[in-house]
Amino acid sequence: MRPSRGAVVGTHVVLSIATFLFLAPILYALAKSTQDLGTSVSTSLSIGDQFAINARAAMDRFGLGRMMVNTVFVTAMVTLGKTVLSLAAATAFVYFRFPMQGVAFALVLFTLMMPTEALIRALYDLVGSLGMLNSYEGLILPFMASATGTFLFRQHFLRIPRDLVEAAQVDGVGPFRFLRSFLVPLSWNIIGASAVIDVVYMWNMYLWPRWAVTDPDVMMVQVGLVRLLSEQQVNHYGIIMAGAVITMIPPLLVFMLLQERFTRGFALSGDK
Amino acid sequence: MSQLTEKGEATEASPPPTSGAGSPGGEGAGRKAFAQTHAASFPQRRAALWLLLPTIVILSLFLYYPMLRTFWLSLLSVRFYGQQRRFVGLENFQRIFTDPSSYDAVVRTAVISTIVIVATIGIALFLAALLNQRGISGGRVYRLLLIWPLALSTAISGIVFLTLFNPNFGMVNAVLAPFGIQPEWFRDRTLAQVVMVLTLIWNRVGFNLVFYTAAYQSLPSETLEAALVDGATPWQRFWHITFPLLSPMTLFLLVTSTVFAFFDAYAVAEVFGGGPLNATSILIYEITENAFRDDRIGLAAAQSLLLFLAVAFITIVQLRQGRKRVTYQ
Repeated sequence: MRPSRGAVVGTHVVLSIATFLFLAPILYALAKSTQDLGTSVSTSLSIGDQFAINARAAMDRFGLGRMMVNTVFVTAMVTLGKTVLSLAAATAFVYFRFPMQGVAFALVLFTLMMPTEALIRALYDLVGSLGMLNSYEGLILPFMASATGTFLFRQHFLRIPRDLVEAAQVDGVGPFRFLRSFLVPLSWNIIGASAVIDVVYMWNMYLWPRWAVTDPDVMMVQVGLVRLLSEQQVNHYGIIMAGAVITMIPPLLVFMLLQERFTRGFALSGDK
Repeated sequence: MSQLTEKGEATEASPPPTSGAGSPGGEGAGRKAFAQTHAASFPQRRAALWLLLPTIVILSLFLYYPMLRTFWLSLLSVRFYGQQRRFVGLENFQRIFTDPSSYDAVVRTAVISTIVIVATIGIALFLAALLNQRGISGGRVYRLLLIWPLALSTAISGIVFLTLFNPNFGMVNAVLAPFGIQPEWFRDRTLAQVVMVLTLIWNRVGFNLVFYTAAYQSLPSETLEAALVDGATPWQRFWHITFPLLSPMTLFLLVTSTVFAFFDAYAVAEVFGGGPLNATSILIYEITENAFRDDRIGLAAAQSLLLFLAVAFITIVQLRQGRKRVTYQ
């Protein structure tokens, strides 16, 4: 049974309006990023030819280029670290039996509800006493472990038939090789799904990098852009918007590359 | 080992049934799962230690230790930038609700967060339902465009909205000009809060939409077809079949959206400077101001714990519901 023609048209109308509303601020930012100083502080929506100049000013003159590199690096390291550590932890929980296993799992699971931001001052003091303020380590290490990732991989491993681990043992495959050669190749969809979550998480992160880093050489781009605006270093909105537009590129690439894996990863984890 | 394996295979080899919708956080603490699933396992316990150790060390150092320390700080009055510390018991917690500016922040946070949480989940569910109807083409294109705002960091979304609603050159007032309305968005407390809520909703709906889309893909098609045959209206099908099947995902998104509204919203509050007259100064913004600028570390710690307890409460409700999950197939 198919829906009536009217219903289909109605759905498309509603979806188009919603899509327009969600895209409008981005189209606005795109238009502004191409305008010169005078136009950028008017209501004009015209498309100018200043994008390259604005982008270069934002990246070079105001240091956002360096900060973009920092953000991409920190995001990549955290995503990689979270993936490796949570694959390892999930393997320990599913393919081993050891004392206090339940306690250890509860310890990991409980951190699902402990947002770092709530501990901001205590974490700041700790990272300070470790000498890691204003460093990449201070932006990366606190976020390397992941309860969500461990949980997702554990769920996934529990659905892999146990014959596999028996067969591996018969063949004399040890746990580390089992993880590398059997579990990882079977987990790409989940790895893709959790990578998308990690990238969004790191890209959105603001509170911690805002306080943990004051040195522009280590600063993340979202913090740097807010600083440019709030300290009124720039009143050329074309430059601000060019910076904003450029920060969208890396996550968009990740979404496009991983969207299918993401959907499949979660469809699988729904036990279908 | 082999006995265990045989027993495991015979009784509980398959994973526990789920309701179909993907529920990353909804499986529950898995007390039973341990008993069932450790059928075949590696005997090298030392390897397990090495696999688990990095996670445990990082969580202990960067989450559990600061957590305990926050508990301790919440019982202190720390003044003169750490020079003077005094044990005050629960006084800081009392102050959250008696100090007028702190109490106002609690109320503000509750209202703003509730609107953001309900709206992001509601709008995402509505869009996912539309996108996943039969006979709707172009779903992938809509979806890719709809999740675009997710590529903008929350802080940068704040900047874009600050510009959009700028009374002098923002597009919103340009659109409103023919109607003779020119609101001063950032001079009026309520209007500033409206812009903040819109920014947060706009930035986050895509995240929830991605998860709902994934959950939709794993809905049991037989159940949906049976309902079609029974002649249920689309509205009935949604509320009586689809919505309950999606509930593990809804509960998961409730937790992540709460964390977003409580904590990630900080970025927007800071871009808006917490104002006007503290209108956008939600609790997490108050916390950082108290902790870093106003020399009120004890109060900040107590306010942090209040937010933490709220998140913990919602998470526990979610995990309990997840365990009680019903199978519809």
